[in-house]
Amino acid sequence: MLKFLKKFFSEKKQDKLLELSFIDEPISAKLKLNYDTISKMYGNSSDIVLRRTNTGIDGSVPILIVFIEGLVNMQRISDNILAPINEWGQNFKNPDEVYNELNGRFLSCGSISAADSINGIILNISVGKCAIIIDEITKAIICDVTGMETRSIDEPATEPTIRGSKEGFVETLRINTSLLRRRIRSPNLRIEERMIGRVTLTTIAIAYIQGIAKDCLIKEVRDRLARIDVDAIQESGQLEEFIEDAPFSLFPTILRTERPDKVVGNLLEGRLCLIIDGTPFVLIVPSTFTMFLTSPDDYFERYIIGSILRIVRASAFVVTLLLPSLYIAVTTFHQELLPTMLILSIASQREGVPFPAFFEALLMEVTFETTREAGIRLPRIIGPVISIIGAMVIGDAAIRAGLASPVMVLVVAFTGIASFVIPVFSMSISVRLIRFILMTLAASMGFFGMVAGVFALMVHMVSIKSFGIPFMQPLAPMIFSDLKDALVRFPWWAMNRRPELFGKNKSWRQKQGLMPRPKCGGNNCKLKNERKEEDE
Amino acid sequence: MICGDKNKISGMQMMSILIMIRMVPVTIMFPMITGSKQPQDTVIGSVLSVLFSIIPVMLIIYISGKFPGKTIVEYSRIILGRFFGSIVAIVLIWYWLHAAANSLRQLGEAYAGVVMPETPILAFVIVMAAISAYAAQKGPVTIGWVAELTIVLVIMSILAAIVLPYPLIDFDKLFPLMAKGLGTVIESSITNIGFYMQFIILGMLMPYLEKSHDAAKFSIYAFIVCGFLMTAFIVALLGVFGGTADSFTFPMYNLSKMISIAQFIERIEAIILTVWVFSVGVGVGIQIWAAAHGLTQIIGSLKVKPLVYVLGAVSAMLSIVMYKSVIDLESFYEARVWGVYSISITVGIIGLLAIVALFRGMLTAGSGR
Repeated sequence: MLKFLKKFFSEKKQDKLLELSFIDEPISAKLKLNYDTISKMYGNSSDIVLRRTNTGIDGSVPILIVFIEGLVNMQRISDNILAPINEWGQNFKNPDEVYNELNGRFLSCGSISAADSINGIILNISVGKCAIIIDEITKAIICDVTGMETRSIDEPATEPTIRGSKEGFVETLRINTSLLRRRIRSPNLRIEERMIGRVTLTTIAIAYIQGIAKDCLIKEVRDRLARIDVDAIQESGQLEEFIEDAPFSLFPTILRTERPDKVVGNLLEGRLCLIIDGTPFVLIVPSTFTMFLTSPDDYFERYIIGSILRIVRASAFVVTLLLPSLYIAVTTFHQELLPTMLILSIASQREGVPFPAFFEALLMEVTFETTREAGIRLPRIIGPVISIIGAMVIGDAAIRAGLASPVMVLVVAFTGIASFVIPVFSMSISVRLIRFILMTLAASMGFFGMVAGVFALMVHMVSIKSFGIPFMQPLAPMIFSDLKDALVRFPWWAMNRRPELFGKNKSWRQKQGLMPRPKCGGNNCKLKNERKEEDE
Repeated sequence: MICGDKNKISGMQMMSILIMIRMVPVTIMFPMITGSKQPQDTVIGSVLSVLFSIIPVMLIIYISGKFPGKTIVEYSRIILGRFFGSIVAIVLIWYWLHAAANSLRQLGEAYAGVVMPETPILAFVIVMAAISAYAAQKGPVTIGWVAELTIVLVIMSILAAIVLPYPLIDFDKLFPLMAKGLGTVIESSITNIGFYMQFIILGMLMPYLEKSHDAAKFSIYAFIVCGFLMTAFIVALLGVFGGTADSFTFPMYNLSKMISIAQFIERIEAIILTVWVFSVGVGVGIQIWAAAHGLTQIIGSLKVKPLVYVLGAVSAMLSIVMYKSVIDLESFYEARVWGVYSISITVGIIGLLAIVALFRGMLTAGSGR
């Protein structure tokens, strides 16, 4: 079996990977040659603009302006590049002077850099910059005139909160990095960029806080990204599969989020985030199990409320995982575990149902999952309505048709609602899948099958890691000090240290003794004031 | 290895493993009670056995400390020489496999006996052996972490079984003590020492311990926790059932069925069923791992990962073929069989290693290899 899997997932002989459509050749001194090279590379692409013009005394210096329409701001091209060239270019005597003067004085772009190869030019214009190539000069001036259309910053659709920021990441990397930079103003926030994808040339940014994130983790992330050699990276999920620790596990070991506040919170705890251009989902590494059960609300509400919410979520996790299996095990094998009145009630409800409990549960679960999936795929306006009405009608019809008992519908409905309480979709869907395995075990071996499944699941969850950090940390291995921010949340003034991610070298995040102790307040204060008045 | 990836267990995790190993027979069959001729004497036996068991366990920790990074299989071959050391190691491997088989059989008997009488024991044994082997494949660190995660449930459920029947407990039923003389006390102590001697697995775990000097401290903690839980449980059991406590095959399950507080807290036997699986999973898992790891240290060409499944299957097979019925298993757990068997193997090996190492000057300061 293992051999088969290995064979299936590895290819012994591999053809040469697709080479990039451009090669790393230097910029030629002949402008015509550069023009031909670039236009040949892009073929007949209508969005590539290669504009030739002349400058210098009597127009003696030909120049070439290259950019991609749609990625640049045309007004800026006109005002900041063409206008200075036309206005001042006539004074320059030779190509060197044109290069130096434009580069040093006259181009009024926010950022100017240089490229010395065709490759460099292509990479820059593909992210919305403009290249100026001057005849007889083997360097190109790169001006930042980015001006592509972007989506406005909205509330994250998949992670709404009651309190906290309403901003969510968008598809543009630079806007996303700015959302982080706005929240962490320290220069220690480092953002390293690299391109992955031979064809898509997707920009991926690694963000971390220097001094808080461990060097070994930063190196590990860099190394894992460096070994990726693919055609395309379109979404963070794609990248996730290349860098995760447990590729065969049903559990996600990398957290993705649309919320900048969540990313900032994790960066401040020593984790790293990966921002991928073209997707609003940012990856956070390393990620542990408890992170998948937390929501930013836990930190923004007072700690007692936050802790209760977490306990509710953890309970919902257990309910989602176990309730249908427990129902199957108890009704099929262990009726003695229920109080007599309850088992009689269940038995009377199941009297007309022609299926065993397992099949009944499976039928209802599959119906529920299908309705839910349909609700997501339907147009947004009618989706929720259809799914709710569909669930109600199907549930009612199933009971009337004698295919399911009311208690089964109740179990399935409650399990479904509980699964929505898990705040991260990737974890929620994993739990929903595992639930079917446990249901099968419960149907075949009762309570024993279910508990054995839970034990095996526990072994699996404890054994997997996320970038070297045990997935179940701080529960297993148990790190007592980190339990302050796991299944419950301690008050902010009690969480003086960051989580113990990499051994004992924890850093303090705040001054000790910040618990509020008002010097004068309430009745004591009143009494003191009264006494003071009496004395006077 | 990524930063922070230590692959070691803490003292606490080691303690959890030891408690789980010891609590397997307590939560299921409790041979100390069921095999006793005078159940009231088991209270004294429980306390005495802790005191007597500590000595050999400390000795194995001391010897292991002299051979840092080496398992009992490895240093047996250093102390006794390659041939005799290998024989000792094979005896130990057999001991672990046998203990694992016993635990599997106990679980199979319990589930088939009390909750699912129509399901064959083999089904429970095979499933449990498979998931224990899976745990063993993940290694002692994972098992240690799982033990740490589940120990709270195990201890809490034992405490619940002790505390919740309080309204039913009649302390007069704890007496008479030593009605049949000292013999019954010694007998129950021997049975119990036999179980405590399963702590010889420390010889395999020590190289995986984060701080080796924690071994003695946390082993003593394990003794204290096990001693307290067992003594308290015996008191609760005798307080409810009195002299008839030995007539139950699965005393904890029966005791938990008696619990009914305000018609609200009742039927906690479902928790006991869970505890059985968790404790057997950890106990059998670590014993199969120890056997597999030991075997690979004797035969270098073997690999632990596939071997754990083979040994898991061997344990499952042993558990079925060695005992015809639960009566057979109960007879095996009598002091004169199990006690003598377990103590002679474990204490015999520890004593032999200690004496030979002493004569060969391997136990003196700085002599460890």
